[in-house]
Amino acid sequence: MKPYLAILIDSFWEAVGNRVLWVLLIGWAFVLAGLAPFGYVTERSFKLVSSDIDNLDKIKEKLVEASKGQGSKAVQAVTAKLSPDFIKQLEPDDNSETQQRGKRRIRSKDIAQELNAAIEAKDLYSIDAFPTADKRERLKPLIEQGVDKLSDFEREELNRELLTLAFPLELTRPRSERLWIGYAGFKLGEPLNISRRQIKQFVEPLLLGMLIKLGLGVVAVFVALIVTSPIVPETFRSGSLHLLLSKPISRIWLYLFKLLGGCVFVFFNITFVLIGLYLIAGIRFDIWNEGLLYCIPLLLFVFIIFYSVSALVGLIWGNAIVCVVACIIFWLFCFALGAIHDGMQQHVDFLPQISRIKKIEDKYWAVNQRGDVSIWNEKFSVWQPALDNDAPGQARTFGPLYDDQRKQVVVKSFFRNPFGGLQARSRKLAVIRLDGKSDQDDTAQDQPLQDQPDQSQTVAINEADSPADSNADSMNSMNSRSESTEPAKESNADPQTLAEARTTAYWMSDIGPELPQQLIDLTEVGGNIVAVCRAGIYRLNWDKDVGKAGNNPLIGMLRNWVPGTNAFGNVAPKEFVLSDNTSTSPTADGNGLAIYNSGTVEVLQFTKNRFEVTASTKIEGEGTEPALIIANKNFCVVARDSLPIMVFDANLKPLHPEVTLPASNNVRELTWIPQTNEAAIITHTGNWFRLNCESGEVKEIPSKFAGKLTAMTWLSPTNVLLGVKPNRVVEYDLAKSSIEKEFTPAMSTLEMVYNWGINPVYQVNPKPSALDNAMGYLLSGNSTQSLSIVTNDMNQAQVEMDVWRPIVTNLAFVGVMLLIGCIYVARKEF
Amino acid sequence: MIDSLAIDVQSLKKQYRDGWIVPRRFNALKGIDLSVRRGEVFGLLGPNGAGKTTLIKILLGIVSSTGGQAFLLGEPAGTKNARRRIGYLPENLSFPSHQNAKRAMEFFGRLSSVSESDIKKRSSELLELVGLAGREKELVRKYSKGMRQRLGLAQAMLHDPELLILDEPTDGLDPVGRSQIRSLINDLRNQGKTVFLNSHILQEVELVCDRVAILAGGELQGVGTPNELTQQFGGALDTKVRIELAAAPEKITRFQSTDGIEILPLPDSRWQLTTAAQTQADVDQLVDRIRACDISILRLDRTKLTLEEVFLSAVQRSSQADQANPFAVQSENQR
Repeated sequence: MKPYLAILIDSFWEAVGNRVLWVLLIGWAFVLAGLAPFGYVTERSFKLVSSDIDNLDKIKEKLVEASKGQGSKAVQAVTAKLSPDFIKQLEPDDNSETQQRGKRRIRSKDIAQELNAAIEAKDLYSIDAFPTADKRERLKPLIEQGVDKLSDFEREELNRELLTLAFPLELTRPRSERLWIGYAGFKLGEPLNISRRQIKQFVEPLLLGMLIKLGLGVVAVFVALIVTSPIVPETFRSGSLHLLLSKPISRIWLYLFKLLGGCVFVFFNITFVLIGLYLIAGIRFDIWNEGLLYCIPLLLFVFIIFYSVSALVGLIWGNAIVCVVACIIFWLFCFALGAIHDGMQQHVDFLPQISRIKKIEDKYWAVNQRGDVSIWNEKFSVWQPALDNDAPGQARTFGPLYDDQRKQVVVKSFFRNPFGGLQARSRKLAVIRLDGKSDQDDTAQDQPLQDQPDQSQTVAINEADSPADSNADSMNSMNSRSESTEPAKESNADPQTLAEARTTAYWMSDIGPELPQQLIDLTEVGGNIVAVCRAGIYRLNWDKDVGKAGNNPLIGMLRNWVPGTNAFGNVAPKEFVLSDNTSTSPTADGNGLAIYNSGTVEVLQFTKNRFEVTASTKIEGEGTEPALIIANKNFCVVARDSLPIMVFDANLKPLHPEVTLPASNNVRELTWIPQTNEAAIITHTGNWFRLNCESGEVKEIPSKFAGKLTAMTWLSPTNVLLGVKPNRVVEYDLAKSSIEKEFTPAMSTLEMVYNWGINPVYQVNPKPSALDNAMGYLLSGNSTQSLSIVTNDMNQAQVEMDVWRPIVTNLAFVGVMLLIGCIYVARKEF
Repeated sequence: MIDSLAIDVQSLKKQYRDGWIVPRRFNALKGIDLSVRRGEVFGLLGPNGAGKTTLIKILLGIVSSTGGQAFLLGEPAGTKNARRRIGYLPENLSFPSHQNAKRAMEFFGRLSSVSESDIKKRSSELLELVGLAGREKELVRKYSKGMRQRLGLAQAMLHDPELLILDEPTDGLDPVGRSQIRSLINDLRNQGKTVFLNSHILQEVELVCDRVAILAGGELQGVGTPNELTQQFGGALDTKVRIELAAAPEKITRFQSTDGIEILPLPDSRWQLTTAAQTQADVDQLVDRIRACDISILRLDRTKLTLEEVFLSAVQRSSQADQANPFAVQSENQR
């Protein structure tokens, strides 16, 4: 072994002797030294900063109203604490333009500063201005303690909560800690509007991941290749080689140990950088992520893949430049194949995934990951679009919900941006009338699809004004947004070819009533369509003015839909406000709602035309974790992102607070198995479990679709519709373990090219870049990854990170490269 | 295979193939037989492309033979056991550019499984011996060719091998360096080591080698001591006789009528006669004839053949034989 160790050590020294290495190490040292002063700067305070202002205009408006003695008493109490000069500046001025110009524009920062005066005030609270404050869980103890006896910090907390009561939708949730990114103790910019957990979630897989992937995985690996590429060609140059071969050593081991020597050198480099990053992330950001250390062998492996190519080329051609060029060509080939594969996979494997299935009358409806609503076309065995989808790109679709009495289906799609925000051209519901009738037949039937007005502008769903607030708002928004005029519905779906069946919308949708703003969920409770919004819970009343088609004088000749602003009536409990991080589901009895609202779990029952809270509890945690919730009359189950599942009893007392799924799977879908106290779970890895709420026991549901499931809809305790990757639906009988019906769409050309061409080649080809998945897994600990930067929807399909296959194929590739190298070395007559 | 032999080569053949599509074959070694006794300094001579390096590569196991057998110190050539017992100094030696003399000695010592203490002790001794003491920490890439050659020689001796194969050991060395190397080789012989020397510098071979082999066109043209080779090749060659004469020009004109005799005038009525005389009888007869013409003999020289002349003669003979087969000999550099 001694001779080979000598080769190993000599190769290491050979690499160390390279100046590029020293440049690289000094560069990395500078990077690490530059990163080291970054860190958090925290401050305990309830004071507002500009990012806490959700709706600047609305706050201004409310303050101006309150200064005139109008509006709520709470806002008036707050206004009383503000400086009169500031209020004056808020008032719209009807005077000349010159005066307007002299007026300073009020920004969020100014409002925040001014409202902080109210937060510091000693006498903001009065029972008259805030009559419900002493009934609130958070405020009750503070008020009972006596406002005069509160510490400054406690008073800040109380006043901040009171401000939330005054401006429920205009301000963000109160937070006791402000968090800045700091550099050497100095605050950088504004406080962060996200929590430590979210930062951790962002920093670990994304920031650190990017730094490692680009900094180390690409730059450092290629510099290392340049540094190490001469090792093999130099060794196998005739002048030095004959001397080496005259020694009593095996030439195969000589080759392998030369190669290993280069790897040892790269190992030291990567270790230096990653330990540095690990310490900086730990000491400065409190992110002690061992995954960083596990990335050391992984990055070394990435290097070995390329180095095995470099070494073989160096062996044959004996030239270091050729080695580097060969590595670049190899990398480009792998990158191009990977890019083509991933691009096609998105459209073939990922976006077509069924995320919701519904059987309405005799038809099977499905919503896929792209947000398309489709109906199964038996004739062509294909998912035919149910309606023209107005969401550009990937959408979040609410529904389809079936109104049995009116024989109509309502559905709404919103474009989903990477930050989790939803946008649409309008907030109007799409209505599909299964009986073929229409409210607008006489006015809009002859409107061709192509004659729609310009719909290029979109409106954000998160606008703060509520439809209940004023009609004027809606009209104004129509003016500015060029709301769509959509044609009357008509069942026109009789495609003649498979291609037509793929593209022709089965139904043309009617436009229905306008949804309230800041929609969180659209669901069905007790036969009613209910929109859960930040400002409350709204029930759709079809009998009210749900809209008429007609000429809208404000936009000239275009026929437009006059929105029925009263169609959705607020049926939420009093002062019921929800946060962005809310999820809901109808209770199993169909007459209530289970709500998870930023760490608070509430069960509501619909009684006397209004929802009432029947049980409520706060669960431990930051409250920023997205969650799924279901409840029946006996139990409530909450599954939060990356946290154990919690099972509560009917009074929301925790029964099983830490139910974990095998292999730390994250829940994608949670639903009750009908007539049981068992919850069915589909994970993001496509596995299927049942959770017995009585015992808290989790069992895998055996089926041959394990690892492929995407959605489920229970038809009976033993019959279930399952979404199977990529876009199959099966009706599965659990009792018989048999498939009752199967809906497998015919493959498109793109699918055929992918399945029979690109994918097989990709699978056997080495995939150095696919090791990013393994890196992501090591850094985040999750085997699936959300496509959104901010994850707020657990239903949204996540990309399953293929951790092991790239390792196996790359290992095989390295093995083949080394084998060829060894055979060449053994047989070559130098 | 005889145990007393350091190198034993029997009917050794090597055929190279060149080209991917239409492979060309040429014979580098055409079945040579050679034996080198233990303790002798043996020189291998041959022109470029004669097969010398091929022979050494086969002995070291760098290339495989296509026929025949070769043994080193009783071990099949190319095996680890054989390589463990030999020291090798290649032609055009280059060291990794990151190494200095000390690190190179350590590296090659470890490759030969020499213990760390021996490496330490012997490397400083040997570096001193080859004249590199005090420069062992300089990077080898800064060394002159001669210094690298000295270092190569030092590493070849580091593990105290029984057989040293030296390929052009004095290449790049100045006359003093060459003399030192010759002296070193003599020392090695005195220590009982076998030295197998491959060199183009024939005088050097003649000076240090006990026996010499001439390889040309892949065949062994002759083996023996330099004297044996001279005799062996001298027998077949014309021996020249040079005689200084003193006589009047008429007598010289009369004598010159004989064929094959060249006479050139010198000052003071002197003449130089040059002719071939293969045997002593031929010389006697020539002297009788000169005297018969009343010409005085001032001086008579018989020229002895040098190793170089023997070598050139052998090469010429080989190339004449190979002209019939143009593929038989190719430059080794082309391979």
